[in-house]
Amino acid sequence: MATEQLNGLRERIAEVRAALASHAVPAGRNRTDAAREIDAAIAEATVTGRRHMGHIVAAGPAGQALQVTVSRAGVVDLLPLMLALIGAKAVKTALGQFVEALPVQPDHAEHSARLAELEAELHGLELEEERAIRALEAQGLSVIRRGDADPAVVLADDLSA
Amino acid sequence: MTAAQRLTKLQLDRDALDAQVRGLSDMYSDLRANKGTTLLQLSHSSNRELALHWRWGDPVEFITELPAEKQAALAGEIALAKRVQDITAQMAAVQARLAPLQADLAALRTLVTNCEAYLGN
Repeated sequence: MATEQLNGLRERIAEVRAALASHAVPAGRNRTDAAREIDAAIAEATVTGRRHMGHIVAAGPAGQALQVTVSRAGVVDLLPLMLALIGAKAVKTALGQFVEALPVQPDHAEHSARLAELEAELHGLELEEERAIRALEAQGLSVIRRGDADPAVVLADDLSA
Repeated sequence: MTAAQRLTKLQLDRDALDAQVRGLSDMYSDLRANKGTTLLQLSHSSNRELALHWRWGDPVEFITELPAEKQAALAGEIALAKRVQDITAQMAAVQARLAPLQADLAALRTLVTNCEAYLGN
Protein backbone atom coordinates (compact mmCIF):
# COMPACT_ATOMS: atom_id res chain seq x y z
CA MET A 1 0.00 0.00 0.00
CA ALA A 2 2.78 2.42 1.02
CA THR A 3 4.74 1.42 -2.09
CA GLU A 4 1.72 2.12 -4.31
CA GLN A 5 1.31 5.48 -2.60
CA LEU A 6 5.00 6.21 -3.24
CA ASN A 7 4.70 5.26 -6.91
CA GLY A 8 1.64 7.49 -7.27
CA LEU A 9 3.49 10.39 -5.67
CA ARG A 10 6.46 9.87 -7.97
CA GLU A 11 4.23 9.88 -11.05
CA ARG A 12 2.67 13.17 -9.92
CA ILE A 13 6.13 14.60 -9.14
CA ALA A 14 7.26 13.74 -12.68
CA GLU A 15 4.17 15.49 -14.09
CA VAL A 16 4.71 18.61 -12.00
CA ARG A 17 8.42 18.71 -12.90
CA ALA A 18 7.50 18.46 -16.58
CA ALA A 19 4.97 21.27 -16.17
CA LEU A 20 7.63 23.36 -14.42
CA ALA A 21 10.11 22.68 -17.21
CA SER A 22 7.59 23.84 -19.80
CA HIS A 23 7.01 27.02 -17.77
CA ALA A 24 10.69 27.65 -17.14
CA VAL A 25 11.08 29.81 -20.23
CA PRO A 26 9.67 33.23 -19.38
CA ALA A 27 6.47 34.03 -21.21
CA GLY A 28 7.16 35.95 -24.40
CA ARG A 29 5.21 38.85 -25.82
CA ASN A 30 1.55 38.52 -25.18
CA ARG A 31 -1.60 40.36 -26.19
CA THR A 32 -2.17 41.94 -22.81
CA ASP A 33 1.33 43.44 -22.64
CA ALA A 34 1.20 44.71 -26.23
CA ALA A 35 -2.28 46.25 -25.79
CA ARG A 36 -1.18 47.89 -22.54
CA GLU A 37 1.88 49.42 -24.25
CA ILE A 38 -0.24 50.74 -27.13
CA ASP A 39 -2.75 52.32 -24.71
CA ALA A 40 0.07 53.97 -22.76
CA ALA A 41 1.74 55.30 -25.93
CA ILE A 42 -1.58 56.62 -27.28
CA ALA A 43 -2.38 58.35 -24.00
CA GLU A 44 1.00 60.08 -23.93
CA ALA A 45 1.09 60.95 -27.64
CA THR A 46 -2.45 62.33 -27.58
CA VAL A 47 -1.34 65.00 -25.11
CA THR A 48 1.83 65.76 -27.09
CA GLY A 49 -0.02 65.87 -30.43
CA ARG A 50 -2.75 68.18 -29.20
CA ARG A 51 -0.25 70.54 -27.61
CA HIS A 52 1.93 70.59 -30.75
CA MET A 53 -0.92 71.11 -33.22
CA GLY A 54 -2.58 73.69 -31.00
CA HIS A 55 0.69 75.59 -30.73
CA ILE A 56 1.38 75.58 -34.49
CA VAL A 57 -2.16 76.53 -35.47
CA ALA A 58 -2.22 79.29 -32.86
CA ALA A 59 1.24 80.63 -33.68
CA GLY A 60 0.96 80.10 -37.48
CA PRO A 61 1.49 79.53 -40.17
CA ALA A 62 -1.23 76.91 -39.73
CA GLY A 63 -0.32 75.36 -43.06
CA GLN A 64 2.85 73.99 -41.47
CA ALA A 65 0.86 71.95 -38.98
CA LEU A 66 1.82 68.71 -40.72
CA GLN A 67 5.50 69.49 -41.00
CA VAL A 68 7.64 67.10 -39.04
CA THR A 69 10.94 68.07 -37.49
CA VAL A 70 13.46 65.23 -37.67
CA SER A 71 15.33 64.71 -34.42
CA ARG A 72 19.12 64.42 -34.29
CA ALA A 73 18.71 60.71 -33.87
CA GLY A 74 16.85 60.66 -37.19
CA VAL A 75 13.68 59.39 -35.60
CA VAL A 76 10.27 60.65 -36.68
CA ASP A 77 7.45 59.78 -34.29
CA LEU A 78 4.26 59.96 -36.31
CA LEU A 79 2.00 58.83 -33.49
CA PRO A 80 1.16 62.32 -32.08
CA LEU A 81 0.43 63.54 -35.62
CA MET A 82 -1.73 60.54 -36.49
CA LEU A 83 -3.67 60.89 -33.25
CA ALA A 84 -4.26 64.57 -33.86
CA LEU A 85 -5.48 63.86 -37.39
CA ILE A 86 -7.54 60.68 -37.16
CA GLY A 87 -8.08 60.20 -33.44
CA ALA A 88 -7.15 57.60 -30.86
CA LYS A 89 -9.93 55.16 -31.79
CA ALA A 90 -8.79 54.80 -35.41
CA VAL A 91 -5.12 54.41 -34.41
CA LYS A 92 -5.99 51.85 -31.78
CA THR A 93 -8.10 49.85 -34.27
CA ALA A 94 -5.29 49.93 -36.84
CA LEU A 95 -2.68 48.73 -34.34
CA GLY A 96 -5.12 46.29 -32.73
CA GLN A 97 -4.99 43.93 -35.72
CA PHE A 98 -1.30 43.31 -34.99
CA VAL A 99 -2.05 42.68 -31.34
CA GLU A 100 -4.64 40.08 -32.35
CA ALA A 101 -1.97 38.29 -34.37
CA LEU A 102 0.08 37.63 -31.22
CA PRO A 103 -0.27 34.20 -29.60
CA VAL A 104 -2.48 34.00 -26.56
CA GLN A 105 -0.20 33.59 -23.54
CA PRO A 106 -0.69 34.25 -19.89
CA ASP A 107 0.70 37.57 -18.84
CA HIS A 108 3.81 37.77 -16.69
CA ALA A 109 1.89 38.02 -13.44
CA GLU A 110 -0.19 34.93 -14.31
CA HIS A 111 2.95 33.13 -15.46
CA SER A 112 4.79 33.88 -12.22
CA ALA A 113 1.76 32.87 -10.17
CA ARG A 114 1.50 29.54 -12.04
CA LEU A 115 5.23 28.90 -11.51
CA ALA A 116 4.91 29.59 -7.79
CA GLU A 117 1.85 27.33 -7.63
CA LEU A 118 3.71 24.46 -9.35
CA GLU A 119 6.79 24.92 -7.14
CA ALA A 120 4.63 24.84 -4.03
CA GLU A 121 2.87 21.70 -5.25
CA LEU A 122 6.22 20.05 -6.03
CA HIS A 123 7.55 20.91 -2.56
CA GLY A 124 4.43 19.47 -0.94
CA LEU A 125 4.68 16.28 -3.01
CA GLU A 126 8.38 15.87 -2.19
CA LEU A 127 7.65 16.22 1.53
CA GLU A 128 4.93 13.60 1.23
CA GLU A 129 7.25 11.33 -0.76
CA GLU A 130 10.00 11.60 1.86
CA ARG A 131 7.49 10.85 4.64
CA ALA A 132 6.38 7.73 2.71
CA ILE A 133 10.02 6.64 2.22
CA ARG A 134 10.82 7.07 5.90
CA ALA A 135 7.70 5.10 6.84
CA LEU A 136 8.84 2.24 4.58
CA GLU A 137 12.38 2.42 6.00
CA ALA A 138 10.92 2.26 9.51
CA GLN A 139 9.38 -1.06 8.44
CA GLY A 140 12.86 -2.28 7.51
CA LEU A 141 12.36 -1.84 3.75
CA SER A 142 15.05 -0.35 1.56
CA VAL A 143 13.89 2.41 -0.77
CA ILE A 144 16.04 4.20 -3.30
CA ARG A 145 15.36 7.92 -3.45
CA ARG A 146 15.16 9.77 -6.73
CA GLY A 147 18.46 11.24 -7.93
CA ASP A 148 16.78 14.61 -8.47
CA ALA A 149 15.07 14.70 -5.07
CA ASP A 150 15.40 18.00 -3.22
CA PRO A 151 18.35 17.67 -0.77
CA ALA A 152 16.63 20.11 1.61
CA VAL A 153 13.74 17.67 1.92
CA VAL A 154 15.83 14.48 1.97
CA LEU A 155 18.07 15.83 4.74
CA ALA A 156 15.31 17.54 6.72
CA ASP A 157 14.70 16.49 10.29
CA ASP A 158 11.22 17.95 10.38
CA LEU A 159 8.95 17.17 7.42
CA SER A 160 5.90 18.95 8.75
CA ALA A 161 6.24 21.98 6.44
CA MET B 1 18.54 12.47 13.03
CA THR B 2 20.57 15.49 11.88
CA ALA B 3 21.15 16.40 8.24
CA ALA B 4 24.79 15.28 8.52
CA GLN B 5 23.71 11.90 9.92
CA ARG B 6 21.19 11.48 7.11
CA LEU B 7 23.91 12.28 4.57
CA THR B 8 26.23 9.72 6.17
CA LYS B 9 23.50 7.09 5.93
CA LEU B 10 22.98 7.90 2.23
CA GLN B 11 26.73 7.65 1.64
CA LEU B 12 26.83 4.27 3.36
CA ASP B 13 23.81 3.08 1.32
CA ARG B 14 25.59 4.22 -1.84
CA ASP B 15 28.78 2.39 -0.91
CA ALA B 16 26.85 -0.80 -0.07
CA LEU B 17 24.96 -0.63 -3.36
CA ASP B 18 28.19 0.09 -5.20
CA ALA B 19 29.76 -3.03 -3.68
CA GLN B 20 26.69 -5.09 -4.62
CA VAL B 21 26.82 -3.84 -8.22
CA ARG B 22 30.56 -4.50 -8.43
CA GLY B 23 30.02 -8.03 -7.08
CA LEU B 24 27.38 -8.77 -9.69
CA SER B 25 29.48 -7.20 -12.45
CA ASP B 26 32.41 -9.41 -11.46
CA MET B 27 30.10 -12.43 -11.43
CA TYR B 28 28.89 -11.52 -14.93
CA SER B 29 32.48 -11.12 -16.16
CA ASP B 30 33.43 -14.52 -14.70
CA LEU B 31 30.45 -16.18 -16.38
CA ARG B 32 31.30 -14.55 -19.70
CA ALA B 33 34.91 -15.74 -19.44
CA ASN B 34 33.70 -19.21 -18.48
CA LYS B 35 31.37 -19.28 -21.47
CA GLY B 36 34.20 -18.20 -23.75
CA THR B 37 36.48 -20.94 -22.45
CA THR B 38 33.76 -23.58 -22.86
CA LEU B 39 32.99 -22.45 -26.39
CA LEU B 40 36.70 -22.58 -27.18
CA GLN B 41 36.88 -26.14 -25.83
CA LEU B 42 33.97 -27.04 -28.09
CA SER B 43 35.62 -25.44 -31.08
CA HIS B 44 38.72 -27.57 -30.43
CA SER B 45 36.68 -30.75 -30.49
CA SER B 46 38.17 -33.52 -32.59
CA ASN B 47 34.68 -34.35 -33.82
CA ARG B 48 34.63 -33.84 -37.56
CA GLU B 49 30.98 -32.76 -37.67
CA LEU B 50 31.53 -29.95 -35.22
CA ALA B 51 34.86 -28.89 -36.71
CA LEU B 52 33.40 -28.66 -40.18
CA HIS B 53 29.90 -27.32 -39.66
CA TRP B 54 29.45 -25.61 -36.31
CA ARG B 55 29.79 -21.83 -36.66
CA TRP B 56 29.67 -20.65 -33.02
CA GLY B 57 25.86 -20.52 -32.86
CA ASP B 58 23.96 -22.26 -30.07
CA PRO B 59 25.89 -25.55 -29.77
CA VAL B 60 22.95 -27.43 -28.22
CA GLU B 61 20.73 -26.42 -31.09
CA PHE B 62 23.41 -27.50 -33.57
CA ILE B 63 23.94 -30.87 -31.96
CA THR B 64 20.26 -31.73 -31.44
CA GLU B 65 19.59 -31.06 -35.11
CA LEU B 66 22.16 -33.70 -36.10
CA PRO B 67 21.02 -37.24 -36.94
CA ALA B 68 20.90 -39.56 -33.89
CA GLU B 69 23.92 -41.64 -35.00
CA LYS B 70 26.09 -38.53 -35.20
CA GLN B 71 24.85 -37.30 -31.82
CA ALA B 72 25.96 -40.57 -30.25
CA ALA B 73 29.57 -39.69 -31.00
CA LEU B 74 29.23 -36.31 -29.33
CA ALA B 75 28.58 -37.17 -25.67
CA GLY B 76 31.43 -34.99 -24.36
CA GLU B 77 30.51 -32.12 -26.67
CA ILE B 78 26.86 -32.32 -25.62
CA ALA B 79 27.90 -31.91 -21.99
CA LEU B 80 29.98 -28.85 -22.92
CA ALA B 81 27.18 -27.45 -25.05
CA LYS B 82 24.69 -27.80 -22.20
CA ARG B 83 27.18 -26.07 -19.96
CA VAL B 84 27.29 -23.15 -22.43
CA GLN B 85 23.50 -23.02 -22.37
CA ASP B 86 23.47 -23.10 -18.58
CA ILE B 87 26.06 -20.31 -18.35
CA THR B 88 24.08 -18.21 -20.85
CA ALA B 89 20.98 -18.56 -18.68
CA GLN B 90 22.98 -17.59 -15.58
CA MET B 91 24.36 -14.55 -17.40
CA ALA B 92 20.84 -13.44 -18.32
CA ALA B 93 19.72 -13.87 -14.70
CA VAL B 94 22.66 -11.83 -13.39
CA GLN B 95 22.07 -9.14 -15.99
CA ALA B 96 18.39 -8.94 -15.00
CA ARG B 97 19.43 -8.31 -11.37
CA LEU B 98 22.25 -5.97 -12.34
CA ALA B 99 20.38 -3.54 -14.62
CA PRO B 100 17.92 -2.13 -12.03
CA LEU B 101 20.66 -1.98 -9.38
CA GLN B 102 22.85 0.05 -11.73
CA ALA B 103 19.96 2.49 -12.26
CA ASP B 104 19.42 2.72 -8.49
CA LEU B 105 23.13 3.32 -7.95
CA ALA B 106 23.21 6.11 -10.54
CA ALA B 107 20.26 7.81 -8.80
CA LEU B 108 21.81 7.42 -5.36
CA ARG B 109 25.17 8.74 -6.54
CA THR B 110 23.49 11.85 -7.98
CA LEU B 111 21.47 12.38 -4.81
CA VAL B 112 24.51 12.03 -2.55
CA THR B 113 26.47 14.49 -4.70
CA ASN B 114 23.58 16.99 -4.52
CA CYS B 115 23.22 16.51 -0.76
CA GLU B 116 26.97 16.96 -0.23
CA ALA B 117 26.82 20.20 -2.24
CA TYR B 118 23.75 21.30 -0.25
CA LEU B 119 25.54 20.80 3.05
CA GLY B 120 28.74 22.31 1.64
CA ASN B 121 30.79 19.15 2.08
